[in-house]
Amino acid sequence: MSALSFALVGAPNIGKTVLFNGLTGSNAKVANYAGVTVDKRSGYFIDDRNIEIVDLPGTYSLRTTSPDEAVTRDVILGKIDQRPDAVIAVADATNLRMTLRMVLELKRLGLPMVVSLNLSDVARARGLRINVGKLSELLGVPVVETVAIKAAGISNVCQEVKKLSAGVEQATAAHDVAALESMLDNLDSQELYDEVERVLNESLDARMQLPSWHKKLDEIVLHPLLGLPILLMILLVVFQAVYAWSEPVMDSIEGAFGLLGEWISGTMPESLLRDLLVDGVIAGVGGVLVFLPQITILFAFILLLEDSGYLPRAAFMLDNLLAKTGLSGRSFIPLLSSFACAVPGVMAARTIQDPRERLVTIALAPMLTCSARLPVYALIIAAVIPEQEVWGLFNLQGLTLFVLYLAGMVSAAATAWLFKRFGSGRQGVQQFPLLMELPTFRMPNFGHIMRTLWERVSAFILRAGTVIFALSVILWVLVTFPEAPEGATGAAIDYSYAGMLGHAIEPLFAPLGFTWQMCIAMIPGLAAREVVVAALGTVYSVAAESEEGIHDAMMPIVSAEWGLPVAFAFLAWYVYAPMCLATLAVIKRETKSAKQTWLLTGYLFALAYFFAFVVYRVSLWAGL
Amino acid sequence: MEEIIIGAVFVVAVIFIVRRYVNMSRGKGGCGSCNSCSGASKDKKGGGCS
Repeated sequence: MSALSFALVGAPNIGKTVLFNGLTGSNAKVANYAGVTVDKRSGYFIDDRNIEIVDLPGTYSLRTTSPDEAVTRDVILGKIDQRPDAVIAVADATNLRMTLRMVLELKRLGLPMVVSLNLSDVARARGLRINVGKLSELLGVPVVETVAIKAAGISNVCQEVKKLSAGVEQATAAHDVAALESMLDNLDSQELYDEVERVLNESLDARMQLPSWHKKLDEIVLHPLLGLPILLMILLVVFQAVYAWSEPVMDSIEGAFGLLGEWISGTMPESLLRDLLVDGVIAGVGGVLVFLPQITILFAFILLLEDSGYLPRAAFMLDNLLAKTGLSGRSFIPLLSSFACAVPGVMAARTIQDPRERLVTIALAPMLTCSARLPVYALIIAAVIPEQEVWGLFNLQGLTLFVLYLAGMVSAAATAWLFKRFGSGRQGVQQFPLLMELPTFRMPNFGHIMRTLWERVSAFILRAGTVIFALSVILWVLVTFPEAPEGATGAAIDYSYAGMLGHAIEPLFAPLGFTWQMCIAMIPGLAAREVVVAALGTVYSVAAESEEGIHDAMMPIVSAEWGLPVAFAFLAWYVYAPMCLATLAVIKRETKSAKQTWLLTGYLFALAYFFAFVVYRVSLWAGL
Repeated sequence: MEEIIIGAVFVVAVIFIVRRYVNMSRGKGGCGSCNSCSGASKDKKGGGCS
């Protein structure tokens, strides 16, 4: 027998994906802002593998306006795959007025349904009293209170899913999609809202009150003048912490890899296999893993800001500013996601209705500094920027990192403005104002943050142990073979396949000051940006005469051989270059256009080349 | 013998990388950078960045 299918449906940012994770034992990405889920995903119910749970993008209504919302509507109507057999309608207990309308729409479709009142704990703490029995009676479906972020908070839903599955027959019978669509389109909105009001009047025993500190905090962080400086200060503190707090752990990791390399060198006889382990694997994988503490701190701050409810307020605040560049606050969440990784950023652009704005947002996402760039920036900064205090407050290295992040943001804003100024096709494009519900401020749930942080950190470690490991092995082989001929006078690496390739590409990058070793490292770095650090580690380890550790070998080379102009040009290259195949693959899928993907790739490479050239020449001219 | 081991590791590494990126471009599995796609349970039906 094939599985019964239960769809999770509800408004954005009310914890559907947290509930999905709890019901299926999955760990899909969740955050305290709307638009994280932009496509359907499915998993099996932990208590009964015959039940498939399908998580859908959030929407306030089945009368949809954006591509992600259309996915929800099409799945519910059975236009995508088979129609679900039942629905778990998720409603926000703290905002029933906005979320019950969707429940009423779903009820009219006639599917068996259970309503999960999520965030019940927050609603209770704010004085709301819901008569759940009465609400269930008025809606004519089972209603359960849930706290999805707590393990015990979803047991009620599990029980109801089991009960519902016993009475549900698979929706194999043919249904008239056109008739259902027409019925949805002809629903009277006013009538639905009137019904919501009636249900609320009869089922609420006491209304919710926001505490006074909440209003005061909102007045401060959303202040027209203070809001933006506060946001910039928060970002500055984050980047300072990335440097100030990570150093001891980074030193320990570096020391551990150094000891491992020495131990292998001491115990294994001199051989190719030993070189592969020390110069290929340890130099490559270790060279990237050293940056794990910095990435962990960055992710921890992003999660804290997400979970507290601050980030959507930043989007709201930036709406006016983004409007000047031709974008809206709607672009903020995709662009914000791009600071972790451009892949979910590009996907999150599905929440944008205007096709032009969506394309511009996709074009800008790779410019924002993803976590993979952090190792590249950190390596170069540590090598060429002195560790000193600025104005007795800031660390110069942290300040440089902040400036690099800012460079990505300013470039993205300038590019968006250029698209607006010189782009075509404004006529006839429908404009959609930003309508976003601000979640209430809440104390971050540290258990949830720690779990999510571990998922992201373990993903990074797994990536180092798989993709970076494999690429380090490939690169080591290419820089080692063929061996130098007898009587050769140059370095052995010069005669290798990678050496030949590096020398062949070097003239193209010579105007930017890049060496042939940098050219070699950038090739595997096309797979993912942080791989360039692993590749530099391998190239310089193989080329080094001594048995130094990864950083001990690389830092003096970057500092002395590259010099400031080349180091700055390399940083400028990585602010713009779309050196990530995953991002390009996702852009191709999202735009469904090879032409647009090639154009976006071309313009990003052109920007990278231009700015690296300008930075290199200006640095030389300034005598740096 | 040593060359054979290194050759085998090299071939496995190349196949791993090529398969990963070919699959990714077809919407199966992700790049490993985020857990937007790899988050679903092992016996998931959907998933992938697409």
